[in-house]
Amino acid sequence: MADTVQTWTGSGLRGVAVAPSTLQPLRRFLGRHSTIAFLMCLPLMIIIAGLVIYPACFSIYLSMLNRAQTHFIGLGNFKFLLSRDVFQMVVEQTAIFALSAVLFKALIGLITAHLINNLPAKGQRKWRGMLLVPWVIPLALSSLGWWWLFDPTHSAFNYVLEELGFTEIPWLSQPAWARFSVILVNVWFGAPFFLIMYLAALKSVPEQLYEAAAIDGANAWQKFVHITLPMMRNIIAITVLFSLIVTFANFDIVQIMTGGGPRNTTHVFATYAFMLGIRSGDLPLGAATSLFMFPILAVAAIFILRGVRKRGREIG
Amino acid sequence: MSTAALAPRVNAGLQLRSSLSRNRRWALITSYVFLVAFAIFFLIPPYYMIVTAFKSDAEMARMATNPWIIADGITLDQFRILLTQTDFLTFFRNTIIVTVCVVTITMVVSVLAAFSLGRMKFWGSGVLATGIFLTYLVPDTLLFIPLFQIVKALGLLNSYWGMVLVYPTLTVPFCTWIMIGYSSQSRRSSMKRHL
Repeated sequence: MADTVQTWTGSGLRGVAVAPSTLQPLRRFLGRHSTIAFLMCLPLMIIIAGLVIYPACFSIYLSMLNRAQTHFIGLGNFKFLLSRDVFQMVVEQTAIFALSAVLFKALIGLITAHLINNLPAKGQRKWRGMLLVPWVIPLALSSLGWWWLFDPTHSAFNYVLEELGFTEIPWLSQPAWARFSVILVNVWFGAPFFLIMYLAALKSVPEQLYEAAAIDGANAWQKFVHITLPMMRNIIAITVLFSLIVTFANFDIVQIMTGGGPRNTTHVFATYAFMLGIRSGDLPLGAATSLFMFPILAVAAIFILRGVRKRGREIG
Repeated sequence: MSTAALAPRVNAGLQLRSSLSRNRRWALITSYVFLVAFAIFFLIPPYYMIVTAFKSDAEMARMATNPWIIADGITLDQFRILLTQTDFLTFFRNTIIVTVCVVTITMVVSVLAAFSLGRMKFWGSGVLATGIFLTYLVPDTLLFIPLFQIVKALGLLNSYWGMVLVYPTLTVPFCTWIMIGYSSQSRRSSMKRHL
């Protein structure tokens, strides 16, 4: 058999002979359900292999080259980064940025979801729509809007502060205030996502549980702690972890608002990698910087996957 | 049980109900107060962007007026300048081309894949579904440096075909994941109908 095509089907590896005289087996093979399903997934697999898996491997390879990409230097880039003060500050700032932003996003999302859930059913849609606005505006554009609001010369916020008799605040030019500003914008953008997730979760808590608790004389706080939180525990965990990934990898807000400045104090991993890799042309060092995100993201991803599976089993 | 003995209890019940409704009203009022506060926080930037778009250059340059309101009257000058004196229309056309291409690619690829993953089973389909979810979790900023290198090697760096190539990385896993849920759900409900 010269023309043996090795292909795997539903039952595993199997050789299919394509004889020039009769195409019967091939036709049967192509007509099988699992083959069609596999062929339908093929474009997706090509995209994932070519645009996710290959770049990821390439990134690891790239991070072990020297600046000119001429020879292999092993873990030299990682060692160099860890010895730099600026990089240590970036790690610190990324942790502060991500953890505090996610905490406030989750709090605001939880509070607003409860407030909306308290309203009569008629008004809920309107308020939900209004509070979802930040999530709908493209992040790059709303970051520009915030940048104008913080603008040092004639900023809208400083105008209000002055009218109220306070002194102006150098929002984006003083490290502490600049860090505060980028976190504020991130909270503003991310809170509606939590709102929508928590609102959906609140609706799925059975009403009978609250009625039973009311008969037992539970107050609002006890209902929240003993019914709402346990029922929503899984969805809260998934949302927090997911948001942690997105916030850790944030780029737009910091790049547009401060560009990492003043004096590199607001850099997060992504903006620092962009500065090293593309602005200053040291692609290997940039790749190494962005790879530092990977362990944190991988751990978060594993827990999300576990949570999603558990949630799927709970629902049915 | 006599009527006289029952009366105080009914009274107490009425009182309880009225205090409950009062509590309810207070809860509603506090809810609205806080919601208004959050809505102001959420709507500040879009409001400011809209207000600023309708201001004249003179008002922006004077810097003495309240930036939160339009003091010198509404003007459409900025839009006129944007459309006639800048390359905005070119950018707009680029945006539309990129969007249409990316959405088409994404829809074709992810509808096919989601249908087959949600409704048919084949060797490795479970692993593939999990893999798609994991790639959806990979943030774009983790991969932009190698993708930059790839796009550069393909010579697409300063054209929108580079974007058309790269954007499906972000959109395809997301759309597929969402649609797998839908197609397996509809399978479940159609199976119920058959039973």
